[in-house]
Amino acid sequence: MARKNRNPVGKNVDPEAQKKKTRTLTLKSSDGQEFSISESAAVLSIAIENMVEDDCAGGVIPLPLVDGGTLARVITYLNKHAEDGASDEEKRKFDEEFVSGMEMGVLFDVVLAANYLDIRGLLREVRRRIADRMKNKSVEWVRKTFHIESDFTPEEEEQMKKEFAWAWEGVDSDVDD
Amino acid sequence: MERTRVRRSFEADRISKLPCNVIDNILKFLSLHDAVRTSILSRGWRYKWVTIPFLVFDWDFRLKLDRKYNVESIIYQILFLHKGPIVKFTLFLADSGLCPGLNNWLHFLSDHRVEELTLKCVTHRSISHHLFTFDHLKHLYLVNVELRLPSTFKGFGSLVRLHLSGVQFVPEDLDRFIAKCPMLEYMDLRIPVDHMLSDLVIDAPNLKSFHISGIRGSVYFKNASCLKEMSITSCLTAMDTTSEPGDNNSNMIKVLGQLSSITSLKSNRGFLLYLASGGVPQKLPFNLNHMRVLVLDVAGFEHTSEVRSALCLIRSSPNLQRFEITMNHPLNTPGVDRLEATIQFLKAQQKYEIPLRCLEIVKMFIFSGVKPEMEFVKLLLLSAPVLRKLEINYMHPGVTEKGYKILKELLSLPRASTRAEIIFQDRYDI
Repeated sequence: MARKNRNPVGKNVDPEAQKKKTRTLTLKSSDGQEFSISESAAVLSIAIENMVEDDCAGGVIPLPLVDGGTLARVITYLNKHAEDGASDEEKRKFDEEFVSGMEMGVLFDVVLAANYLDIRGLLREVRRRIADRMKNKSVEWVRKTFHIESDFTPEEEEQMKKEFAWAWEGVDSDVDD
Repeated sequence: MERTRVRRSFEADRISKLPCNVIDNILKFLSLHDAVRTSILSRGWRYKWVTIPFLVFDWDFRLKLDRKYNVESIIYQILFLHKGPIVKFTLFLADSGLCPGLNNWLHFLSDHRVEELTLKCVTHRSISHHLFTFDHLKHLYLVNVELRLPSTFKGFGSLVRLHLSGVQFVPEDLDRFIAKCPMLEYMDLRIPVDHMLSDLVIDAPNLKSFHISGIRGSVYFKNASCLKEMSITSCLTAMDTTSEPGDNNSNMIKVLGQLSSITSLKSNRGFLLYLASGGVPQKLPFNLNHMRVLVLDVAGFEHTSEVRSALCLIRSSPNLQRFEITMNHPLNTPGVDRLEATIQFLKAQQKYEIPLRCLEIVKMFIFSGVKPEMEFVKLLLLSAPVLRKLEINYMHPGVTEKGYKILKELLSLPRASTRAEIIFQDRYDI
């Protein structure tokens, strides 16, 4: 509400911002899929913004490190965050739902894409979500969930447990969430 | 880049191959217990946690820790192993005993580019001058410490948020401290009861939000031209102030004249009395054009000076949208004379215009329905043409005959706004 009042339609609107809203860019994924996106949404990615500013885009921006499925998700995120009327509260809710439904593999695809494209807000959300899966969990549980193979000998492990004995207490029992 | 062995397992370990910056930032969401435990996941994880930028030894950390462990030695262990910048450091000291480590840690941290420092102590302790060499500080949160500002203090050039609670300062030191933090935007000062601050000078050109409790004397805003939100709880009592009419030396004008950007003011009766000291003009010689929200605590309209200050504030805020007032009733019923003086004053005000053209919401708490309160409501209803809601929270719970009578009287009052809704709450469900 307050946001709307501050920036009434037709008044004090930055013409450059207006142009960005109408101008569209094409993003091309590693597997050759093309996606249209408004410039105002695309530049929420600092990496894309730099490419647009350097004018090395030439109409189609190739993103060789992001596959089509992941790019589609990232674009959903960018569009929501560039939406005019969306309040901070709405965006926060969207973010929560957006990451809570993701499977582990998808979380990693998205975190890598967000890191590569430099989308700070998305990166934070996904990192938080990954951290949530490690919170208060035993070492064995974390290894199993993230498919981490231990290469310590039992003796080495015992030695390390002694070194940080205080950190080993009070973890949840190993059940899935 | 380290070459990792290719695994033939069905599902790959992807987390271990994430870039370092991503892993650091995942670990930063974890407690220290969780982060340290990752060291045993595999050889690749052995030292990943040692670069986490947040070190938080808060209540949660202590609660998780079995009593048999010594917190001090754990802090030493972690600081010894940690590498790289420590962006955030939080420490809660629960025991009242000496903590010889504290000053060593501060010394160690002072060259680790700490941006956010929180230090909460249960009992007062003095801390070393090393704190004043944290050049990168953006947030500082201190509870129950004693500070002595060294004469060499150069200031915190990047400090944006300052929160001091129960912090003992030599009064002039606090003024000097504030003046040397030019980027301050948010300040919350809770002065300990046994160490009330008599006077304070605010020289903070970027300050936007200022909250203080426990001040007994004057607040002089030397430079606060950006200040938007302010809440003040002053310990002044009627005995400490004089409010003779004649507005040459009015605090109202002196103080509010410095706050040209203010949008929201929350004040208790002590500060209203302080403002009233030196006399209260009918209206300020300038308008508080940005003021939208005014929240006041008064002592049941016992003193006309409080009502005068409140009305002067309202009158000088032509764009006020929301007004809230809490009546704190004095233990002794005020004499009839005093009430009568307030009633006469309020009645007289009906002759003068109060331009409340934007006022939409009024809330009154602990309303007792005494005559001065009713006169005050009458004045507001007459002066607010776009009022949407007047909420009265009656002090006596339950439906009483007296409450019903007050409600009836309220409903019969003439209103400038055709759409004003009067809500009468006689229950404590606010």
